[in-house]
Amino acid sequence: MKRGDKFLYLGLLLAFALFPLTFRFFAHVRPPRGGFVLEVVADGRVIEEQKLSGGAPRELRLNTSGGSNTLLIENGAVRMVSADCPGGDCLRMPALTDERGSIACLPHRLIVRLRGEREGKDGADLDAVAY
Amino acid sequence: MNRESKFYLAIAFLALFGLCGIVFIRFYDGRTTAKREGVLLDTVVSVEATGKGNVEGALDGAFALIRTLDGELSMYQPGSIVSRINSAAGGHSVKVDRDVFDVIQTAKDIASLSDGAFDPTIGPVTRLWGIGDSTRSLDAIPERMKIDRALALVGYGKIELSEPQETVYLSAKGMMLDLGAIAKGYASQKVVDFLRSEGISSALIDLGGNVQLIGSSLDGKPWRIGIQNPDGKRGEAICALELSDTAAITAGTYERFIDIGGKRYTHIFDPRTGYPVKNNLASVTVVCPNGAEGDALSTALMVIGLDRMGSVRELLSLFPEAEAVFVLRAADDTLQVRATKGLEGRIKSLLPAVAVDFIELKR
Repeated sequence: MKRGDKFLYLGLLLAFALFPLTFRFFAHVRPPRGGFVLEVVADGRVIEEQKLSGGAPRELRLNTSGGSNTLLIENGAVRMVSADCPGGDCLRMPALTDERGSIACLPHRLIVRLRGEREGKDGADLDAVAY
Repeated sequence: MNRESKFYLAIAFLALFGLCGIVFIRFYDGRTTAKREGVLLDTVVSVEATGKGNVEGALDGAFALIRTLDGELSMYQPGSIVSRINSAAGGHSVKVDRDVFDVIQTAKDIASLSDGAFDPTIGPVTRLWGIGDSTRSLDAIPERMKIDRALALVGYGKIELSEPQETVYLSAKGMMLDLGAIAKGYASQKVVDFLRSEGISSALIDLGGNVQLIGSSLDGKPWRIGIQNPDGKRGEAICALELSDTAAITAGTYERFIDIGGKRYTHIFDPRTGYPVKNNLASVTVVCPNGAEGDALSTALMVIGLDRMGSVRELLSLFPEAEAVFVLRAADDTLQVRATKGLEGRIKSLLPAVAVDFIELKR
């Protein structure tokens, strides 16, 4: 076995190991029926949960023990527009449009993400209603 | 290349093939999905099916089937087989096809098992109260005497079925079959049987709120079926069920009603009193593999009512695969949900104010 072969196999193994991650990138292929739910987690607890509905752009103010942030929800995309943290890294993060990625404000221990309504606990995404 | 590296290369390729297989199954499993809607059985009918074969063709067949049953089982269409059986009551027997014989047989069986709480011969009573006749509305509830006269014509025991000839005879003149509390459930069962035979592996059949399911939802998880909130708009659910390969059929006092002298009466009648059902139940949903049974059982349980818990348990013990969800209206007008124990873990409330309690059945 040559030295180069080893790298080849190692590379292949790594590719296989990371393979499941590619499913994440397919997540947007089939958008959830019920649309997305905006979820804000602060200090590990969900502090805000709301349906990402259409309509006029709106701002969502988040006050945590760490400080305050403001999200802008516009055309199905969510981004951070203001934060009173020193770095402001979260302001530079790309807008969220689907389940991929998240916006984090580390100084405030805040994570903002979208998830498919199907996993929502409010059950708005029913396949049918018996009446 | 030496022997060892060939071996590793072979393993790597095999793994790659395997992964390709997984991706293929995940995204291109060869199944197609089609959905169709229509107005049949006096309601909105929708069928969504997924399978490998000709799904559109299967849907054609399913709708043709519903259309046929619609024409046969309605008591209000003059040409229907049920109408012919009704007009021949007390006179002669009527030759019917296999489906009609089946549904009447099933109806009679469940009538007997429910001790008449569900009774397909309720026709004279529903007719007297003006159900299904939009041209006529009553100013006052029918006189006691007329109700008694109609009640005398009610009785599943007076349905005479002859198996070899497939004939049906109602033994008293004026008797009337009303299959309204079983026809939709029977139709959904027939659709399920047909779609399965056509290779459909996942389907949601919704016949005007009578839901029946094949397999699981497309993402492999159970279907999520809501139970109508009696105080909400159509489609607003009070609780959600996770179900596969079963029927979920609701009888509700809120759904259809008649207006007599400004008062609302439900279209569900107690075959033993001749009056509309009046108890603390807003709805009963039966979850069971057979749609026809679920439909008739939901009506029977509605008629029995939770006040007679003994009878409820007795009836459900005869259908070991059936589970039920009762939506009750308390004296203070709040709603409560009670489900049989077998649904634990598969049902959850969608309203913060409504908790789900469980009823233990002896099985």
